Amino acid sequence: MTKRLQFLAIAALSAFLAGCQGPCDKIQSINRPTLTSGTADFGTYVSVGTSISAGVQSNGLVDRHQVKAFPALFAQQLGKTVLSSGGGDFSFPAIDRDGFPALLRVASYSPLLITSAGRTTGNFMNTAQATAYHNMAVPFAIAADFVDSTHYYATLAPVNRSALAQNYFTNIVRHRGTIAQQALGKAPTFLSFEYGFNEVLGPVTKGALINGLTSNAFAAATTAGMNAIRATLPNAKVAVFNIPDPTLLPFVNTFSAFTVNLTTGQPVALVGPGSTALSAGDFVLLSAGPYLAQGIGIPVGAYNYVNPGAPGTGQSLPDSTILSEAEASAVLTEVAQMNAHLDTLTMRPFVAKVDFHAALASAAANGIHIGANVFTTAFVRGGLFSLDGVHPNDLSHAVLANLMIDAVNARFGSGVPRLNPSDFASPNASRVQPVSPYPGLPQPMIIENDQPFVSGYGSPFRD
Amino acid sequence: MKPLRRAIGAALVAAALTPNASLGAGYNIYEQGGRAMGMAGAATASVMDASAIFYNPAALTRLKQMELQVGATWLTTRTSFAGLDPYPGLGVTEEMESGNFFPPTLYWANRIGEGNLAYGVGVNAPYGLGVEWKSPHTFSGRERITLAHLQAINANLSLAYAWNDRWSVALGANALMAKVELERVQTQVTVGGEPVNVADVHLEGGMTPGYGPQFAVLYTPDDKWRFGFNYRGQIDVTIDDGKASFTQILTGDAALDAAVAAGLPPAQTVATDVVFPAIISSGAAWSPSPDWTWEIDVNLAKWSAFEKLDLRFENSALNQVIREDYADAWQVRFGAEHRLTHYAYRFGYYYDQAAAPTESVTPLLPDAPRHGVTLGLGLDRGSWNLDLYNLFLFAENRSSEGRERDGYDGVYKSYVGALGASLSFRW
Repeated sequence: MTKRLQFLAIAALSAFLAGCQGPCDKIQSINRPTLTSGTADFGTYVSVGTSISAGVQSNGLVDRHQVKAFPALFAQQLGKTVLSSGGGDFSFPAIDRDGFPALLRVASYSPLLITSAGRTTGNFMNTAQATAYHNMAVPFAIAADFVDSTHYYATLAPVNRSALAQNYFTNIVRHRGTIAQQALGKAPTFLSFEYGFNEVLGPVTKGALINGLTSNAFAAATTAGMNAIRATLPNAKVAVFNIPDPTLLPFVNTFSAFTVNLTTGQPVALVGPGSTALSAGDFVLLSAGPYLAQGIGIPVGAYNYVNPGAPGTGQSLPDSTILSEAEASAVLTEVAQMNAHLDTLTMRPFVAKVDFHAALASAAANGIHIGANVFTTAFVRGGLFSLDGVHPNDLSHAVLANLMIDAVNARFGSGVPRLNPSDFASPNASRVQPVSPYPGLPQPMIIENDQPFVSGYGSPFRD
Repeated sequence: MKPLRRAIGAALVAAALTPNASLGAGYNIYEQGGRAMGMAGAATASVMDASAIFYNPAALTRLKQMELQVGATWLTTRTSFAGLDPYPGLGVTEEMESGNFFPPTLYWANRIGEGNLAYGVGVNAPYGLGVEWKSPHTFSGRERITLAHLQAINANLSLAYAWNDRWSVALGANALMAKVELERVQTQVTVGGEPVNVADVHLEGGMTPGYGPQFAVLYTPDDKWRFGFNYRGQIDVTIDDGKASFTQILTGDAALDAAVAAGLPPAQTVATDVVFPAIISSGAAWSPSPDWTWEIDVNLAKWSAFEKLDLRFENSALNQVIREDYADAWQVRFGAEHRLTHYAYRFGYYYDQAAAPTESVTPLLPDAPRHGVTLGLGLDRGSWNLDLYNLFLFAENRSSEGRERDGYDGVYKSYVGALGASLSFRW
């Protein structure tokens, strides 16, 4: 090789590499895997369950959150169209305006004021739909409602369904038989089955002792439900959600049973029913807020962490605002038995278990880490619960959808693409979180609710 | 509101005051001589110009004349990122601004009298470079870092002694001045879970010195073989006069803006320690004929010294420790030179092991294994010569594999191009 050729060869190679095609290009995005069904068939998906499946947030149901409910998100991952009008491949009973009932919102931050005042109650928009909805979840529904319409439209013992709850049944089930008849009538190839929350929320949110037969009734109802599905649709697959620990809800654990003596700075117990001092195992429910705001339940001379301007009266808090340690223990016993029964159901080959219980326990203990942020179950400032302190927000629904996707993929060998939860974060309410001047105590707040969170959750028995 | 202020303040200053880089493993820059880099930096044994001050100062005793060498490298960097679940998620891509950097070199070497002593004085930039993500206020990793610059200028004085025709040794000292600048965005999580930008955080440390030793050996058993060893000692720089500032970003939510303003920390000093690790180089050069030289080097960068970063703010309640836990990293460098009558051409390849564990693959420093290919050209005009080189550095796509400490996971792709020249004058 001559010198000139050597020189030219080096120059040519340099020029070639300097062109930098490929290595210099921006990295290609990594896209989600395409849907594969494994042993499942996702041709028609139907959801049945409670207000969680329905998409209730901040005490109401509204289209902008209904499309973010975990069943809707799961349906989208299956390639279904989900429209805010309620139509599309995954239909649901859409509600317009500010929701039904009108959703709570934060009206001020200092003190924190949560209210639905000034909002416009929405209407069900597509009740004329000829066919059943794909999302047949009904707020206030219990497992027995799946195959039994007795309590849909009447206030009958032992369920004693409220007018609000009956309204939901009227507009979602629409007097067309049972939920099961409508849901299974759509010949779904895949269902999600989420019941049990309302059976325990009733006594929890009313601070009442749960009926010891709740788990037995639940077991019978869910077994009947599963059998009905299997008998009607022998090839369908089902994702069954178990029941989370209700004492981990912000509605239950936001308020402390203790405050501090303004003179000594020492902890002092709130005044419970019958002028008894609350103990560390007692829960002061969010429904105690209006009483605490008046100084009721606050010992004389103690700091009022809800309304620092209102001195403690030393009066007792109503029993309905306190979930005592014994009541909480009884609820957890029932929840454990209900989940144990669900475990037996999820051993059936056509059923996948979605471990909602473990997921909430983990979130409560460790938070959910998404990027640089840690989301917790704390009321208002945690970023996981809506303003009623009971129902998950959009972000949590995305987490729930992923929980379901993981369970379904693991059980049926399918490849349903996961969601990116951070895509579902939205500034839908308060952005600021005033904190208490006393570490460990809640921030001052006012909760105005013309339809208190607990109304309509039914009687202490089951609903 | 004091607890709120403290909480917001702590979050606002949870910024990383860390070194950064995008070229060599960690933040090392080995591009310190035109001839050496034409051979992929495989020059510990065969270096024969004033850049020996960096590559092996014991070789200063082999220089025939006093020499002044000036040089520079034009480094261009491109880095992009593809997200993984759960955060920032599949489908997300990000990109850094294309970086352009010009680390300089200046070397002066001479013999002392007619004896066996020689000395060298050099100024170069053996560490540094930067990170600057595009669209910082929407960048998905903005809570961690949006901009990071590390500038380091090193001065070296080396004294070499030739025991005989075969053995030479050298002792030297490095004085390194380092400056760090970092920016990030502080966000606040809303009830709905959406983080909104509430403040720009800027940390900057002034030029601060650190010192380290150097020791080298050159063994030349015959005309065909040369063996070199070079130890560049660790340099620790303590930046204790850094400035931290926090500039509010208005969100449009008056209540939130008021709370952020109330909790915004005042400008204050911040201190940290930056470690520039020791590098141990050994090389063997073979000249089968008078016009060819082949060399292979094995280097070990002691990145295990980079364990953590202590961030010490004026308000000690804001202090933070960031784990890095780097590992020592090996480099293998191979190069060749063919000398012709008036010019020489060179080529080489090197492999540079990643120093960062998977947990530390972050948008601040997306370290990855690298493969470098170099081409070089030397023009010899007697009293002066010009050495040019071109480096094509291909970083392996590196995934954080869902293990990044702060939960920012994805795959990084980087490429570095370098075009350098050294001009030497000899008397």
